[in-house]
Amino acid sequence: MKQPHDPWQALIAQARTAPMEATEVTAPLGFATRVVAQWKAAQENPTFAFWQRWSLRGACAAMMAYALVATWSAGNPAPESIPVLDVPGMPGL
Amino acid sequence: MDNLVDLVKQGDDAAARQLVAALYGQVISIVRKHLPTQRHEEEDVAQDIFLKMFTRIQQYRGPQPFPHWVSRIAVNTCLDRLRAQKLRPVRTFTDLGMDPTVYHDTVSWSDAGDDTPASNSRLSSELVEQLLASLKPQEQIILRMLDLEQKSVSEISQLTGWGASKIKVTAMRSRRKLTSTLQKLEMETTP
Repeated sequence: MKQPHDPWQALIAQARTAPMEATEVTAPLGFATRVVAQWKAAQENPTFAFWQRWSLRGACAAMMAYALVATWSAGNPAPESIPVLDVPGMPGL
Repeated sequence: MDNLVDLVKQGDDAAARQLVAALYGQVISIVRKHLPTQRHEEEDVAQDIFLKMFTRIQQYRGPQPFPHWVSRIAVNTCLDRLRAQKLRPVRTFTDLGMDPTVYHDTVSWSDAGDDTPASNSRLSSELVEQLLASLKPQEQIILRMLDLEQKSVSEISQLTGWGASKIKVTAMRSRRKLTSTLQKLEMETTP
């Protein structure tokens, strides 16, 4: 019996025959040294790494809050005239 | 390898560098397979994976071999990167950036597995990448391993930590999605 036509299976079967790209097995020059140095730096100062991470998140949150307030302010402009309390003998108070 | 791991756990820098050099090929191969559109960032991703490996190395107890443990970190890091990416839906040939006639002429649907010219298989491979990019990150990871790399469900389970039933159900759903997309595209090519 003929199998029903399945375009995905047909396509993936063809894609599997595509020539594989050679993967280099050696790390770029200095890569291992760089990674180990970063690991050591984070190990030596975990508190700094912790604050660095949370400060960055805090800055992002502050920027988002600022953008929200700015958008809201643009949509709701301040009234042009400010009501003035009229006290006899003291004009314009 | 186990000896190197023990030395790294004791804080040996030279052993750590050797471990990175020994696992680089394996890690970069996973990154390239799962993040084909981020070739310019592959070194950054690999660095991220190795840093996670070092940070968590004290937690490694076995019994699975160390390279398998690292592969799981690599796959999960790729998954996180995919989550940060925007999905690229494929609805028309414009989304694929491909001419319908070229598509129809090059990708022959009838006999999968016949002597496909290299240009056709390369085009199919590009098409597969674009279609996979339209799926959710978890679906991309599962379908790539299952259908493209032809890994078994248990291998995928080991690499991702996901259960077999979850893998099977996700694969079934994503295949259904892609089949439907391809059928719609085929209808566009039919005069």
